[in-house]
Amino acid sequence: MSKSTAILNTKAPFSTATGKESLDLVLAMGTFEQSVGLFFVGDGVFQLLQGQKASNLDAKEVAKTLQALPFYDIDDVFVCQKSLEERGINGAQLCLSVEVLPSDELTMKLSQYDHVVTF
Amino acid sequence: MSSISIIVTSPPYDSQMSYHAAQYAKAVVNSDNHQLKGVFFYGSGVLNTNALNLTLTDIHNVCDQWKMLARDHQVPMYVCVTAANARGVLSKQDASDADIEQYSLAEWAISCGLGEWVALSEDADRVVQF
Repeated sequence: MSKSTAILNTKAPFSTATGKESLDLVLAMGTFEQSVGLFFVGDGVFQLLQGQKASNLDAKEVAKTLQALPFYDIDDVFVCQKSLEERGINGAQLCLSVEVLPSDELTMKLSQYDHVVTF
Repeated sequence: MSSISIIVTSPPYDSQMSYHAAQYAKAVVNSDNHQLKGVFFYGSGVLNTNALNLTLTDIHNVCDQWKMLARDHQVPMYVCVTAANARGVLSKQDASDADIEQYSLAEWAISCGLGEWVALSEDADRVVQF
């Protein structure tokens, strides 16, 4: 039976390479038709903010890659509601359509995956 | 018998995590009830496969343990080529392709793409990350 993997993003973009490298892993899994869910919690929710200018840092635009996820059949993107609230972010400020979940539902969702890899 | 794959995203020396990873891997290969499918180095974890890591003699070098696991227990040790190259871990071939004289990838590490991780995690009952 095919295994499912949850990729958990916990870090803000640009300060480290983890955002880019987690996305590379997600895209690779999508290419191999794996069942993969993308989770954003804690400072990881900053990765989803609209209007980031990566070019100011000579860095790659993460938002563009995120918006390409549906082309890789990756539609399961979950965001922690509490993390958004704590950082004063509302759903309309995010760069792609996501499912915003309260903590208990997020935990339940996460437990449905066979594997979890955290970045 | 349950099968386990390990993904290492923590660097050696800066963090204790890769030491724990090697200890854990050793425990798995010595267990009768578990099978270690392989170890995958990704992110800063690729620095574990740098053959040029040199520590003072009284400080433990985790890379020696990885080497032992690969040699004595035939554990496949995969390293993501993109993540490794970005951190100065180059195979002889990578280096020559880029016209760089030096190379640094440990001989026990297998340079590969992320597809290898997909296969390794697919194969495992459990994935453990360090």
